[in-house]
Parts: sequence; structure tokens; C-alpha cells
Amino acid sequence: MKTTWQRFVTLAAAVVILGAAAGCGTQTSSAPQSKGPVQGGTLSIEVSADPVGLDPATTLDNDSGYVLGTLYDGLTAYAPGSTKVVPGLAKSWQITNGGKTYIFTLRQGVKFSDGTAFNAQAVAFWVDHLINPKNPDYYGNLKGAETFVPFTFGNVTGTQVLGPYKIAINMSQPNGEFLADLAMVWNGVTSPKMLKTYGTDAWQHPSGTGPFEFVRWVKGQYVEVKANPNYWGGKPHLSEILFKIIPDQSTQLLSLKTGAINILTDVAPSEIPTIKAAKNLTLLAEPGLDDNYVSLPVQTPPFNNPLVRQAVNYAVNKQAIDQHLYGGYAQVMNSPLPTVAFSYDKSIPAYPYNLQKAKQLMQQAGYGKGFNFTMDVYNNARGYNPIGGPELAVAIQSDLKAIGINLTLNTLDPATWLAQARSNSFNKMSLAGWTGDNGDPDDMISPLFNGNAFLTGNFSHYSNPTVNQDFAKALLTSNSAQRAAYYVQIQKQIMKDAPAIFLNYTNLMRAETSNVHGFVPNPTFFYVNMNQVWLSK
Amino acid sequence: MLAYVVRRLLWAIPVLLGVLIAVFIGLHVVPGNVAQSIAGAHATPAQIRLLTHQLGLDKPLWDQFWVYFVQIVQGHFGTSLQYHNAVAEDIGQAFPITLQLTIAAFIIAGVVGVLAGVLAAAFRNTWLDSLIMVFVLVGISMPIFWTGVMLILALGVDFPMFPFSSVITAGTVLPHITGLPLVDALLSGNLAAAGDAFNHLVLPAITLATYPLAFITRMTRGAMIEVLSQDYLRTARAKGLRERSVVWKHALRNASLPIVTVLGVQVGALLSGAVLTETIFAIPGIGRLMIQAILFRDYPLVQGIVILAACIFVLINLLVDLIYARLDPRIRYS
Repeated sequence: MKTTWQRFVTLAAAVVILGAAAGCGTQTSSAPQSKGPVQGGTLSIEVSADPVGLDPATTLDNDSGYVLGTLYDGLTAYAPGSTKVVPGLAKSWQITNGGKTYIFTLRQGVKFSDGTAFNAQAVAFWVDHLINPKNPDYYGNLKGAETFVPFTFGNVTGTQVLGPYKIAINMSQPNGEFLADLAMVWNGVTSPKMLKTYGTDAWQHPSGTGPFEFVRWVKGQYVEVKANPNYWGGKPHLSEILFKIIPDQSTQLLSLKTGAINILTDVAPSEIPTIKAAKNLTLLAEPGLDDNYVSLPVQTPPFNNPLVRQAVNYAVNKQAIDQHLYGGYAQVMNSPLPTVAFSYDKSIPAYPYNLQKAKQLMQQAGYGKGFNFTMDVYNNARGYNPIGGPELAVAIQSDLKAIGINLTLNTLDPATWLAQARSNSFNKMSLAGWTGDNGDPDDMISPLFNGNAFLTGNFSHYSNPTVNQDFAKALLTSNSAQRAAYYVQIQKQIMKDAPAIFLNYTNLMRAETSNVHGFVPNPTFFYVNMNQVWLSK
Repeated sequence: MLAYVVRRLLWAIPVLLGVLIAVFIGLHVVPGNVAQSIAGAHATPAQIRLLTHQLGLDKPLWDQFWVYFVQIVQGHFGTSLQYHNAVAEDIGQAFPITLQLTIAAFIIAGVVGVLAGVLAAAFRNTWLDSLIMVFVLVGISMPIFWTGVMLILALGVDFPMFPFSSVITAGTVLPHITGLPLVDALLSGNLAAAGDAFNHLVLPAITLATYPLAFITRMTRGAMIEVLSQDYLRTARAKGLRERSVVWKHALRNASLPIVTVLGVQVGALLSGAVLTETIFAIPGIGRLMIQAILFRDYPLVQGIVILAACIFVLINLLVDLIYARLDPRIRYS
């Protein structure tokens, strides 16, 4: 009987090995390149969860944003592959009244997917429903909704219709990033008919002017959108897009390999070798709007000493971390602003890895023998840190040990980590990071390093009066050159003050099957300009 | 027996109340502010305070509990904080999908497990017994996420026989009759959709069934071995009964009490296993809904799902007890 058993095991092993070998051999080759864009076809995009809602005013999660980018247009837009603001539903604009009035000239002949005409009246109603609690269709009637509205429209006082296709938006004080804000997927212009018909239920009856129109949303399974043949920006090549909801990382990648999806939204560094090795897949890695860093409690000894803060910046080997933990798909930070943000200054030097200098600075600060400290660590992967908190924290812990700092890692679930860090009494080191929304420096670094943002993202409790003033001045001016000058000063000062260990800008990574053409990831992470994408047969 | 059932159901009320209190307190004492989660990274403290007020989370805990309790007594489970749906609606959509998966896995685990267990006992210490026990060992040792991914690799990718994501091909529209995709496809006479729904069910059902199958096999084997050595079965054989009749009719009936207990317990295991299985196979069932709800601190949704799970456990326990009496006439309920 033993012999029979052994034979069975051998046979089973042979079957498994042959099966695996056959599987390797059946990989599909790249589809032949067509000469030009092909019309038609269904593009499937992976998303990891259901959208929360499809009314831009009452949602702000990524999964909703991916779909919103195909359904709606803003008054302004982002140029393909960048956060440069270009005309959207507004053909042009003028800024008057000391930056407090924006006059938009709107496109003509545009319709919402429910047939309503897009014009100045529609924009006036849309703005009113965002700022006027007395409007029966006020967006805030949906209690407890996520929203970006106060961020963009907090200063907006009202509108004036100046003609059928001309409208002025007035503000109580200038907002330098207003045009960049308007291009965000959260500020897509919604149909007045949709808002009036569905009220607080508008989140599941979307109607915009975008390149695609809503078809159906099967909860937990997919969202289906179809081409808008009359799209003002050019008829989409695709006939439809399916946003397929696949939560598990392994299943996402296997779905891409089999062609069940065409674009993988969430790529982990550990998946890069598999994607690169597959002939039918392409890895898309672009600089994103991500900062990945460690906050240092600047009001707590010993980190109240700038020398200690600079020492830890020299002690962490960021190049090695980029190479070994992020597979080379990250870049050492030389500024708190990411490379694709407005006014990023590439001339600022990064803190190089220099153990000798770090030790010398520690000595100079009176901490030659080192000290013990605690660092809070989120226990998941985040947009700006796709490898996850614990792996990164261990590398930092090991590097800081070399200058005598013994770090205790306090690993927490994301909700707890965030709740603890956003408090006035927080005084620990913490892994931190930020993903920008619109490429504007105020959105990107003011929540992290402005003295008024302790309860938002300024876990360091860093407050430099000069920097705070520059933040305020930059926001109140709409002159681009002047704003850029303020932000350059801010970047330099923050790097010098070192309220953080500036680690890296991680890349925005996507993967696509080889039959996808014309897809250019946008640094904002969302699926915009999707009318340019086509599938070869 | 009716009085017994009514009494047991009445006893379920304090059990459910206890579960409700424990979950409510547990959810509210863990750190993490749901208003902050909803408001997002840019929210000011004033906006977070406003949201906290809108959601009623600034009231004393006992006050919040009382409001929730009154709602539940009136049959309302509240509204999801993350998604804007009524909790009952979300659960009503997700539960039938989990039910379909669980039933399919239970059929595989129950039928194959009992068969394999009986065979292993009847052919004890033969190559067949050893073979079955090896499979049992493997089945018990393999974690669900590994089994699932291996099945996807083998039968979804390398030899693509079955789809491995969702419950039906995107674009297929089914009438909502029972909420179970396969059943709805059959009831609406759409055989193509029924075949598609069946194909989507194969890999997750096998994945979910693996552990309970192995466990049921082992327990059945053990129970059967014990019964097969009893004197009354020697007598049965001595009377000239065929071995098949001895094993399947007499022995299995007497071994069925522990087997039924295990089957009941395994329904619970199937429900917890559904959490992982649904995540791997992108199935929009109750397990996946619960994970999302917990991560977001969506209190009403988590509470609703936990109450549902508690009800299911109470009912299964009752059902197992009732089956005992049917199988063993010596058991009487008082």
C-alpha cells in the first residue's frame, strides 16, 4: 500500500508541475497595434470598493472620484497628465475686484446627460445649492455627507448672471487656488434637473456633462457608464467603461492578467515584478501628488532642537529605502511640495544620507549618547505609502539606531492613528503623509505645516510665524508669479526647519493590458480625459 | 414541542439584547471618530463638530443607545453613515448573496464530508481511509485566502474554466425575486444567466467548503468508528444484514447526533469564512459589507449585521436541538 501511496504522490506532483508549466505557456501575447484609434469596446477598470455616492458635492472618497471624473466636467479642467489648469466648461475667465470676483465665459451648445441645457443659469443654480442653506436643494440636506464644498466654496458669497453664457462668482476674500479647486472631480457641475428631481437622493442619479453617461450601479459589483456621443471635448472612442469592484489585491492582479480588467487602479510595489514580467501588461509609473514622511514633534524635547531634527534627516538612508522598499518607484524629497505641484523648486537640496554629519549634529545638540522615543505607525498601506506603515517604520528604526536613537514603534489601526495624531496634545513621532487634491501648494502643504493646522495634518505642531504669514499672503493673491514666490520661500524655510524626516515622493502607479491605448494617468489620481482612451481589437 | 420552541425564542430576546449592548459599547469605546472619517482630511474642527452633532454622536452614550434601541423595537435599523442607504436595505441586498454562497458550501461540505467520513470509517485502515485522512489534514490546515488564490490560479487563470470575481457577469440584469442570483436567474427562466451564476459560484463555494468539509469528514469518521464497534451492530451483522445496510442504515443513523452537532457548528464557521471568501472573490455579501462598515466605524451598519448574525446563530442552535429529537426518540423537550 505504501508503494501505491508513493505513486499517487508522485503522479499528483507531476500533474501540478505540468499544469503550472502549461499555464506559463498560455500567456497571451501582446495585441497587434492598430494604426489609429478604434471606436467601440468596453474598458474595465478595477476599483477596490463601492463609490459612496455619485453626486460630486456629497462625496470625497477615491472610489467615487474615479467614476465622477468620467461623468462630470468642472468649469476648469486639468491638462492631460498634469495639474495645469486649462479651460473646462468655462472657455475663459477674468479675475477682477482684487481677486474677489471670477467672471467665466461658458461653452455653448453643451447639455447635461438628462437633456438639460448647460448655461449661466445652470451654473448659478449649482453654486446656489452649494452655498445657500435656504435653497430647497441645498447639498447639506443630505446629513452626514462627505464633502469638499466648504473647502472650495467657503468664501463664495453668490453669483451674478451676466448673460446666457457669462457668469460672475463673488467671494468675501480672494482664494488663490480657486481655479485649481474648480477642476477637481468634487466640483463637477451637476444638472439642476437632477438636483431638483432627486433632492437628497441625487447621489444615485448622476447627471453631468462629462464624456460618459451613467447607466447603472450594481452595488458591490460594478458601475457602468456609456459614451456621451455629443461630448463637447470630442466623442469618446470607447463605447462604455465598467468600474469593477474587486477588494482583494491578489484577485485584482489575476483579473488584470486574464484580461477581466484592463486597468489596475491600485498597484502595490510587490506586484511590480509580476507586472513587468508579463508580456501582455504595461506598468505606468508617474510622479504623483504624494508626500511620505515622518512628523517630528517640534515642541517636545529633544525635537525642539533643530539640530536633532536635521540629524535624523541625515541619518535615514532614503535612497536605500526608495530602492529596496519601493522598488525604485519613489524619489527622495527635496521639498515639502511634490515635483508635479505648482511652484515646486527643484533647486532646494535634499538631506543626503550622511551618518557622520548626523552623529556630529547629535553631539552638537548635546545628545551624543542618543535617547529613547516613540513613533506612531499606521498598520495599513496608504496612497502615499503603498508598502504599508510597519515595513517603513522598521527601516527608519534601524537607521536611527545608528545615531543612538532607540525607537519604540506603536502600531495602530488607521482610524486610531489619525484620531490620536490630530490632537493638540500629540507629542510623538509619527509616520505621516499626504496626497494632494489639485496640485496647488496651499492644498498640498498648508494642511501639513501651517500653524493653524494642528487638528488637520500638522502632527509636528510646527508653527513658524514667517511661514504662516506667507501661507496667508499666498492664498490671498491670484497673481501666479507672486504666489509662486511665496511658496518657494515657504519650501526653503520648511526644509531648513526640518519639522519632519522628509522621506520620498512615491510614484502614482497603474497597470494596463497591452490593448489599452491613449490612457495618461493624471497626478490627481482620478480618471479624467477618458474620452482619449481606446482599445485595440 | 411548540411550547418549547416559543420558550427558546423568548430566551433569544435577552441574548440579542446582550449582544446589542456589547456591540454598541464596544464600537463606541474604540478610538477613531466617525465624523472625522466622513469629513475627510481637510475638515476644520468646526465642521467635524457640526457633523458629530448631525449624526447625534455628541449625545451621552446611554442616550444614543436608547434612541437606537427604540428604533430597533420599531423595526428600523437606522441609516448607514458611510453609504446613505437604510441599513436594512444594505443588509437585505447583501444577505441573500451570502446565503447562496453558504448554502452551496454547506451542501458540498455536508454531503461530501459525511460520505467521505462514512467511507473512511467503513474502510478503516485501508489505503482509502489514509487517502481521505490526508485530504482532511490538508483541508484543515489550508487557510481560506490561500485555498482561494490557489483555486483561482489553477482553475481561473492557468486553466480558465471558471470566473473568479463577482456573482454574475457585469451587464446581466436579473429581476429581484429572492436576491439569490442563481435562484433569480432560474425563476426568471434565464438559463444562460443561471449557468453564468452557477459558474461564478463554483470556486468560492469550494473554497468556503474546504475547511468544514475536512472537519465534518473527521468527525463523521470518528462517530462512525465508535458506532460500528457497538454490540448491536454485531448483532445486525449476525442476523445476516448486508454490510451496506449495516453501515448506511443502522450505523449512520446512530452516529448522526454528533454529526448534526458538527453540521450546526460549521454553519457558524461558514458565515465567518464568508468574510474572507467574499473579499477574495469580490462577492458583495454580508461579510464584505461588515469589513467595510468596521473600517469606517459605520456604527448602525455594524450593529445591524451583528444582530443578524446573532439571530442566525440562535436559530441554528434551535434547529439543531429540534433535529436531535427527530433523530433520537429518547430525547424529550420539557
